[in-house]
Amino acid sequence: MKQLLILSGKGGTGKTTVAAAFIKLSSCDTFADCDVDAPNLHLLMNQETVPQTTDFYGMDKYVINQHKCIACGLCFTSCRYDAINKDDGIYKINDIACEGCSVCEYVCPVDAISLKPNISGELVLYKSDVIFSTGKLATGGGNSGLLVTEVKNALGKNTNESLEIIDGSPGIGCPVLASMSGASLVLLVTEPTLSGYSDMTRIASTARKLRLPTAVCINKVTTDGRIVNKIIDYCTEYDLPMIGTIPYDNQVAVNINKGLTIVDTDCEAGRAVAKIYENIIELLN
Amino acid sequence: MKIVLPIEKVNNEDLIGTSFGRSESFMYFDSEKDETLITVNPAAKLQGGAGIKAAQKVIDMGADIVILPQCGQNAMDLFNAANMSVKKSVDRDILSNIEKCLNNKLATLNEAHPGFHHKQ
Amino acid sequence: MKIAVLSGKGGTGKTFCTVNIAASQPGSTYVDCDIEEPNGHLFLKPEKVIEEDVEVFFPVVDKLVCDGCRKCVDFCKFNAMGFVGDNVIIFNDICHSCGGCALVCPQHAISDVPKKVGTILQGVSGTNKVITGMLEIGQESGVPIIKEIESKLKNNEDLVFVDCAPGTSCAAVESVQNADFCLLVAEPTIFGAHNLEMIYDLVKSLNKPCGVVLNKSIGGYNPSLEYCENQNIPIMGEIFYDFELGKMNSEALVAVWEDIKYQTIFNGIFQKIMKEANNETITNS
Repeated sequence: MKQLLILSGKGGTGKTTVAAAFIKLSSCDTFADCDVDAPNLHLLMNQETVPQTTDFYGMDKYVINQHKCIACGLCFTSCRYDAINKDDGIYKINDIACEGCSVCEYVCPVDAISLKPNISGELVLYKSDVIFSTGKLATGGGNSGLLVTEVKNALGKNTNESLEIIDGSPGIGCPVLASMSGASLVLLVTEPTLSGYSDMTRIASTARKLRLPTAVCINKVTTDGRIVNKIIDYCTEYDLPMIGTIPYDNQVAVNINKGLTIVDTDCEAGRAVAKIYENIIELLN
Repeated sequence: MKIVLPIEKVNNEDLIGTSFGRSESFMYFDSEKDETLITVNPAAKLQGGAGIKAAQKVIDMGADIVILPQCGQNAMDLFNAANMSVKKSVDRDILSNIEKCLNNKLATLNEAHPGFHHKQ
Repeated sequence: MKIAVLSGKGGTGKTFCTVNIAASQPGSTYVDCDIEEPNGHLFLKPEKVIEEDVEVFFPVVDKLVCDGCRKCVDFCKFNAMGFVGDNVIIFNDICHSCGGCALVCPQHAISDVPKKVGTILQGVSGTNKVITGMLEIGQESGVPIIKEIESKLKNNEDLVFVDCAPGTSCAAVESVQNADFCLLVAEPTIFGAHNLEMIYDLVKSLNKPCGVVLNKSIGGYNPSLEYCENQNIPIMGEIFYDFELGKMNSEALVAVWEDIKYQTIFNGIFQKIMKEANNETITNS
C-alpha cells in the first residue's frame, strides 16, 4: 500500500479540490479526510451509502453536583483556566474552557465534583465498493491528533499494492503531525501568496524532520510570477520536486458547486491537475 | 535479558506496532526464564502524552531493552533517563526481531522524531 | 464596540476583510488573534512596536525534597510526567499548567516557574492601532495569549476589530465570547457554505448578533448566499474576485489604502454592521 498525503498549511489553497481530483483519476478505493475541523471532501464524493458513525470521546470534563455543593469557592480559585463561573452564588463549570485537569475535583471538600464523559466529535465511515473515512470535531473541541489517528485507523490495514489518498489537516499543529504518520509521500498544495509561501515552508520543514518524501505544486496561479518564483527557489534549495502549477480558473468553483471534481469536465485547471497526478505516480514508483 | 515490544493485531496475527505510544499492547520477554507476558498498553487511547505514559509502563515492567520501529522524543528522553537500550526493529515480525536482538544484530535507535503531538 | 471576524476555515479572506475594514475606520484597533499564523501585520506593517511576553507557569520539582511517592505522576491527567530512578521528569510541551501536581505533592516539593508561551506585539499603522498575538513555536495552546489580549481590551472603548483563529476551536471561541458583533466571512462554494454553517452554529450557540460578508464572489450561483437566505442571516456586503485585488493581496498591500473603491465597499460594510448591531440591541431590550 502506498499512502499519498495532501497538505497545505494555510487553508483555502485547494487541498481538498486536488485530493478529490486525484481520487477520481486514480479510482482508488480507500481514502480519508483528516481535516476534522472543517471536513469537506464528502461534499464531492457523492456517497450513496449511509455512513456508520461512532462517537469520539475527548478529554473528560467535570461537573458540579448542585445538591452537594456548599459554594465554598475553592474550585473557583483553584482553576487555572477560568473555567468555573459564579452566578448568583452558584458555581458552574464551563465545558468549553474546562481542560479536564481534575484539580477542582481534588480540592472540593464535599466530593461535589465528578467527571463526565465528553463527546468531542464523531467518526464517519462510508463502506461500499470504496472505503471512505472522515470525522468531525465538535465546536470548541480543541485540536485533536487522536481523532485524526482514529480516522486513519478506520481505513483498516491495506495490504495490497493500491494507492491510498489522505486529505490532510490544515495548519501546522498537532493534527497535521498525526496525519503524517504512515505517509509514503506528502504533496504540498500551496498558492502564490506570501502567507501561502510562509506556511508551506513551515510544513516542509516538519516533513523534513520526519524524513518524509515531499513534493510541491502551486494552485491558483495568475500571470504574476513573483511569489511563484520564490516558491520554486525554496524547492530548489531544499531539493523538493516542484511537480506542477494549476492556473486560477473560475470553472473550479462552478464544478465544486455542482458536486463535481475539476477533472469531471474539461477545463484548464483539470488538465493541469491530471498532469500533476501523472508526476505523483512517477514519484511514488 | 528482559525485552519489551509494542504489538498490534493485523488480520489476527500479532505484529510489531507501528506507533509505540498507541500500540494495543506490549509483549514482555525474559530470555533467562524464557517467559512471555502480554500487557495492555494503558496509553493506547489517551488524548495526549501517550508516548510518556507508554514509556513509563515499559520502564515499570522492568525491561532492559525496548524494540520499536520509531520513537517520539519524550518517550526517548524517558528511556534514556532509565538507561534503557532502544533498538530499531527491522521488520514487523516479533520472533525474528527478538532473535536478532539476542544475537546483538539490531541497531540502536539514536534519533527520535519530534512526536506527533506538538508543533514543529 | 468589539467586532469579531470569523471564518469556518482558513483561506476565506478573513484577514483580508478584518485588515481592510479596520483600515477603513481611522482610529480603530486591529487585533490579530489568529495566533498560530498571524498574518495581519504583513499588511498593516505596524511601527513603534512594543513587544511583551506572555508567560504561563510550569512545575519544577525540588529533587532534594521529593521522596518519590509518584502522587504527582498519577494525578497528571495530561501524562506530562514520568518517574525514573528517583527522579520526576516533567515534559513542558505536554504540560497544561493546571497546577495539580503542586497541589497533591505531600512534600511540597513542586513549585511554579514562569515560561514564555507567546508574544503580544502592539504598534501603530497610520491612525490604526495594531495588536498581534503570536504563539511560540512548539507550544500547544494559544488560549493564554488570547486571554491576555482580551484583558487588555477589557476597558477599551475604541472600535476594535478582532481577526479570530479559523474554525470552531477553543481559540476561536475564546475571542468570540466578549464580542458585540460577529462578522462571518464566506466563500461562494459548497465548501464555503458548509464551513459557514459550522461557524454560524458556534455564533448562535453563544447568542451573538452576526452578519455575513460574501467574499471572492464570481457571480452566478452562490451556495453561501443561499444558506444565508434560508437561515435569515443578514448580508453585510459582497466582495468580487478580481485580479487586481488578488495582486494587492499577494503583495500584502491594504486595498482600502490603494483604491478608493475598496474604501467605499468596506466603509459600507461597517455602516451596515453598526445598523445591524443597533437593531439587535433595540429588539433585545
